[in-house]
Amino acid sequence: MPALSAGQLMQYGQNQAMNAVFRKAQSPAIGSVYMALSTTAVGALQSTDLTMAGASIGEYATASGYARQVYGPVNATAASPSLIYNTGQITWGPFTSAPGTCVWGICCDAASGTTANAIAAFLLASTRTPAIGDSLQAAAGTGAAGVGFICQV
Amino acid sequence: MPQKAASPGDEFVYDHPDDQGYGHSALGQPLSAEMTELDMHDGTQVTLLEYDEDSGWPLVEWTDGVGLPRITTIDPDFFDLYFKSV
Repeated sequence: MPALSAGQLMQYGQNQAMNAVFRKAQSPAIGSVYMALSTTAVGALQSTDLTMAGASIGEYATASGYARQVYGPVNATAASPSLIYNTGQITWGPFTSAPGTCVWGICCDAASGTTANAIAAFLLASTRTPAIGDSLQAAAGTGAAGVGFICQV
Repeated sequence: MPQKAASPGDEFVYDHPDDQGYGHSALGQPLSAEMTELDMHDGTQVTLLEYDEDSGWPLVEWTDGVGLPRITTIDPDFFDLYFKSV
């Protein structure tokens, strides 16, 4: 899946960013964030869902070989708009049962569990439906539009 | 959860009796060349990251054949059978 749309911060991400830059709160400590895959239809994902337990999140089931992958972004670019994107390819699977069709990547702050905070959502340029035995791979970002999981503010 | 008392950070080697990759074994037949390259191959070393909160399946970290870091959930019964402690 080489082409993905620009990402949008979810409500939790917006709140964290605003409070950090306006010095109302300390940013979370440096650490990994993770990319989940979601089957939610276009137009149905709600940016107000604060955690991966949100009713509109629709993450792949984990009893399938699926797990969230480390996002591994660059430092946000010194530009306006500022961008952040994955530095390497991201690969899910191999799947041991067919997990359905993924429509979104959703970045969150834990490797598993529905209590993870939902940070940003990325609409895939084209949906993917991995079969049993498949691995699903996303391109590394370059900063160019449509390549990798790019988020901008 | 796996029957063995595995804890996060413990290391294992994937050891399939027929030398099949994890995806190959799930499908029951050889994968395409592209998917074989991305499969977890027999002999892969993994580290237990945690147990998934929803399914209870172990999450393992490993590096695939092209050098990319991966996290994969493993069926607990399969884990008990084919992942040997190192």
